[in-house]
Amino acid sequence: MPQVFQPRANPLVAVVLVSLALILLAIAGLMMAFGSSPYATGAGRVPAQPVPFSHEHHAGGLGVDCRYCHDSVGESSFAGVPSTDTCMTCHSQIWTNAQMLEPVRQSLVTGDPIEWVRVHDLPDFVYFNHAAHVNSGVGCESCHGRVDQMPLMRQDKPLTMQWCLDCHRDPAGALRPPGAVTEMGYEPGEDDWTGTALLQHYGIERDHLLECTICHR
Amino acid sequence: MHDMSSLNGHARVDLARIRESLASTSGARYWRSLEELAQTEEFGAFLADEFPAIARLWERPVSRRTTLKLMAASMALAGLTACGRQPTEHIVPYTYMPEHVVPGRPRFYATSALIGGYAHGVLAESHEGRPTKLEGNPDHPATLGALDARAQASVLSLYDPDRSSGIRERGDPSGIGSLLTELGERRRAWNADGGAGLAILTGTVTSPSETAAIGHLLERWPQARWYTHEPVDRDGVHAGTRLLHGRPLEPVYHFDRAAVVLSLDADFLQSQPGFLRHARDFAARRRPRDREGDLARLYAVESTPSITGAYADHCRRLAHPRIEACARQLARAFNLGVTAPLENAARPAWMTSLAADLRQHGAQAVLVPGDQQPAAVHAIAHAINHALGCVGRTVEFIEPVSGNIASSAEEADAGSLATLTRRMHGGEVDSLIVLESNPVYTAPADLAFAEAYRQVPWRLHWGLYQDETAELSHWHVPAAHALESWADARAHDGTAGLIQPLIEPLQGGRTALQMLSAIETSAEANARELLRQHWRQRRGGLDDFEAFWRRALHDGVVPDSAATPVRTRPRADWLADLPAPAAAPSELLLQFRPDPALWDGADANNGWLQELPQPLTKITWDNAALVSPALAEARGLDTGDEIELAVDDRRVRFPVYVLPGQPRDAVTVHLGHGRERAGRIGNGVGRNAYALRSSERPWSAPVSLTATGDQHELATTQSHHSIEGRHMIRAADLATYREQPDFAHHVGEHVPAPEESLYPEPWPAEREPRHAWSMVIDLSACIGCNACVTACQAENNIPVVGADEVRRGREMHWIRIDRYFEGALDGPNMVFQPVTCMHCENAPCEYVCPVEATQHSADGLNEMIYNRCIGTRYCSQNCPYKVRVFNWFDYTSEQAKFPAPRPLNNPDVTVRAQGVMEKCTYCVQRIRSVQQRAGVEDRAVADGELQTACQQACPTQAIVFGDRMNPASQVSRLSEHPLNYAMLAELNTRPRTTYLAAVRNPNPALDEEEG
Repeated sequence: MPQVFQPRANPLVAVVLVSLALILLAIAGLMMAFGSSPYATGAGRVPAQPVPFSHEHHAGGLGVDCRYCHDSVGESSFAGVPSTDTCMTCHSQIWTNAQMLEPVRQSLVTGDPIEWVRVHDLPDFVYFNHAAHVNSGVGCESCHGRVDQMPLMRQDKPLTMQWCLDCHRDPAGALRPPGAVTEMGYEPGEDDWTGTALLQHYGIERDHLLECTICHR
Repeated sequence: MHDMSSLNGHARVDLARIRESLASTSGARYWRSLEELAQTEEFGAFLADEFPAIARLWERPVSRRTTLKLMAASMALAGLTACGRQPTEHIVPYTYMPEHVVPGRPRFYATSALIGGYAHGVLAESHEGRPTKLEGNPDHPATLGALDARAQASVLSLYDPDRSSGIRERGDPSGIGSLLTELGERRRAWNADGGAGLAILTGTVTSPSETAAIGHLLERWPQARWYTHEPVDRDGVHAGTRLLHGRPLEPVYHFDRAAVVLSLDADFLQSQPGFLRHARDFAARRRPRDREGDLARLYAVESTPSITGAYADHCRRLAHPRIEACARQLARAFNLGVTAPLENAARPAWMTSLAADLRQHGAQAVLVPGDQQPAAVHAIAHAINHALGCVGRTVEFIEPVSGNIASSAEEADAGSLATLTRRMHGGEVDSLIVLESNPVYTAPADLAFAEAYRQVPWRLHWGLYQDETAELSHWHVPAAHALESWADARAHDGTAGLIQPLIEPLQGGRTALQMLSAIETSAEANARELLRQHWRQRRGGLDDFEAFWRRALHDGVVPDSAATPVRTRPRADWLADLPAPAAAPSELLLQFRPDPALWDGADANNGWLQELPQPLTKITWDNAALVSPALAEARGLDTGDEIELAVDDRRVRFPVYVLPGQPRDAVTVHLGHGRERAGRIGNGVGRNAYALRSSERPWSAPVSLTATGDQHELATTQSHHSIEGRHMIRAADLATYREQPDFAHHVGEHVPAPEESLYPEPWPAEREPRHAWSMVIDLSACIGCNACVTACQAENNIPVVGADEVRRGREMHWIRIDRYFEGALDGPNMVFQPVTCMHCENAPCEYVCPVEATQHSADGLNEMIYNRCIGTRYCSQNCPYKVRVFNWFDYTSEQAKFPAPRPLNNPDVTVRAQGVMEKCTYCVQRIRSVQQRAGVEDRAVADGELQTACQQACPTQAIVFGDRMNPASQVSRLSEHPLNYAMLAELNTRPRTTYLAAVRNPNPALDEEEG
């Protein structure tokens, strides 16, 4: 039986082997890139909501404080989404005939709640606690972005574990003095507080922030 | 936890050899199972086999090629599992925000759970309107913050999809309108003849409002009759006090004042009303950590090994009828004029020492007769209590708590199920209303209740389930669960408490008051209004009813409603009415006992209770005939053999369980199993012992036993591992403890803990700790009652896996209670040891995990990260305590065999998926939530603020959890206690959970005598 492969096939083997390795590496690299791409993380996503609620108008234009609607943010893991009658405190007086508010009025009439689509959706094995963050000086903006410039609510950050850890490893840069937590557009250093002072003020120990069970239970 | 049942049948345990081996042992030797003691060759082979449980499951061999293919495929696919986007989630806020609700934070409401009709005060945890867990109400006298397994499991029944979901007429769906019309017609007939043919059948009713409502019915139709049928009745208690005092009374025990206690077949730590309070009070007098060298002493004489007997310092085990002989023998020592028994139950010297000990402690002693004992035992025991002068101190008498207690023997007979059945057979009953009772299943077989029931022209059943009785009824009305009801109930000491709903009836059930009101008025009524009406009338003259109502609802108890003790003395001629002593039967006896978990069987469809290992036998999902080793030897029986028990002409087959400590001449079976219409979980589990019971001899009857030659594999969680002579359990008597307080460190061969490890030690950690969480379990206090097991199950979303999986050793409980025997085969001592993750500082599991799914936190928690776990199970292999459990199959989703109702899940704990390892976390969700709360409030975590679920439920405060870095904390103090020892310390695991060695307080005089 004649030789199937001629001697000149030898370099070909090397080329094939190397390119196989490269392809595998490329696939791995692509998968990693995909994993952190906005497509996979959902960053920048603007889901459709039953009512086109504008944070830009309410929080930015009118200057309504975040806690007027998200009232359990300081005491519970869940920030709270306003009940229909919270909306109606104002909208029973103004924009009473607006077509876009029809679902809100319907909800009040029928008693059926409005089903909002969750924008910031962490995996179910993550136990994020709003109260722990806002009481330690982490601003709303740090995770939710410039809500006051969003006509429709958008997921601003990737919300990956890497992104969480960036801050948990070095929280100083994300901290704000007590009065500025809900402020939009706060810049560190615009007052007398330094990162170290804030860490001390809130009693934050960085070691503690890296325990697995801080978030996973 | 490999089980050895595969060996049953061919490797029979040689009991003679065991006796020999035990006799040759000097000093204390603890053993877990007969198989271990027997040391058969098969047992050796079983232990040597690395994966015995898996080998058995190799049902269809897989070729090497297929294995490789599957492995390659799973490798390739493993990476893809994390790829998908999360499904869209919705946030659904309230339309109108209820006051005080903070989304994400649970609220607690005071209410009561009913155990045998008696109230156990609970705080029900509610997450945005979903009840998820029951905890003891610290302000309720029956619980004081602890809670038993049965009451805790009732929250699972709330969501049971098998509960009755609608009114049925002759089995077909009907509506409230038709029912009310029908009731209207019946009422016209009852009005005409004063209710002559009307009968109402209930269980024990302690509810003041229900008692009043039934009273109204009887006033309205004076010819109607109220009958009582409680399958696990307490007739002996009331008949005994009637005999002695002339009227029925209810004893209330104060074990916190008792120094010497004698139980006469009384399982007062797990069965008798007030048992949680008993356990709390009594353990407080038994813990050396709190009472240096001044411990209460417990004597027990019992007919079936119970946890009370296991906790006793001296335990004698006699067949059920011989307890009376024992009481009589003791009464002779007090010169009460009681006729001596025909045959002594215990050696006179033993009795003399016991009597001397009781007499010496006088008002600090107490005798506790058992609920299943006849009137004579109760009368004699309380007569001795009077003679000791302890009435008013350690025991008080109150008017019966239940509303349907007969004041005379004639009345009791007239209101009994036997009388009702006789009247039914005679055609005297034309309408029968059965309220929350299931007599077709629970009635003693000799009454032939089902046949009698079929003859009644009009039958209505109100209950939680479409059960055996509902099946034979014309009308069935679903009852509301206690967590859906407005009601009330009284505790063992008479304290009344309100029951408030946490949720609207899920299945359209109606409360007892609504049902009774519908019968009386044939109209619908508001459940809350009915209850308020009752209390408004009862509290007539109260200016501010609203304030009273709100206070009572908030506290869970009606203020100052505990019954006032009555001053009482024995009647002058009580001895004349005392029955003459009967000869103890010489034949083999069958004894009936309520099941420790299922009780009378009403809760048989509850997976948590079915899978709860019985305290002494560790059997789950089954009931067995408990047989003594001596009887097993005589009849050639072994655990797992099937036998036929015959009482008169009724026969039932049971599997045998050989229980060391069972009286030789008596076989015990538990009631509550063998249901036919319990639901998908409870149907056909175990054997129906009611079928052997007779109304004349409800608790013991002569029986004949024949082996059938068949086998039945019991699902036990009893560990069949050899403990290889290691000293897991350390115990001593009080004298030894006084002499050498740190005896626990001098047990057996002293192996010093290695100082160095091959591995880098994670503790002290690189990261700076703020706390050092740690747990101490006091073996002097643990009574093995299982309250912690169910508390853990409810708190941590632990699934139910079923009998087959338990047989393979795959039960998922995070805390197991090891039961050890010590001493003679026929009368062993028993010790319980709760074992859970030890949170070792040098945790062997952490080194072997290839993906770092188990990690150590700076504050000393051995953390389990479910989303990292890939299921290699190396950690479990390397764990010396065997406390890790694995999700072999999908146990949690809706496709699981025993799906957990989703609304029941604790939202603060991950629901684990298939292929993930899990174990005790020290309730890390509670730790983090308290820490975060303290952080928000800018303060330190206080000692005692943080309780794990097991600690919270424990009635005896055997579990202490806290921060060892706080030198003032209780756990720090106990870590330094001389009794403190670590399990397997010689392995240098440095466990954070340590034990306090058990100290018992036997009577030195008796010790010598027994020795």
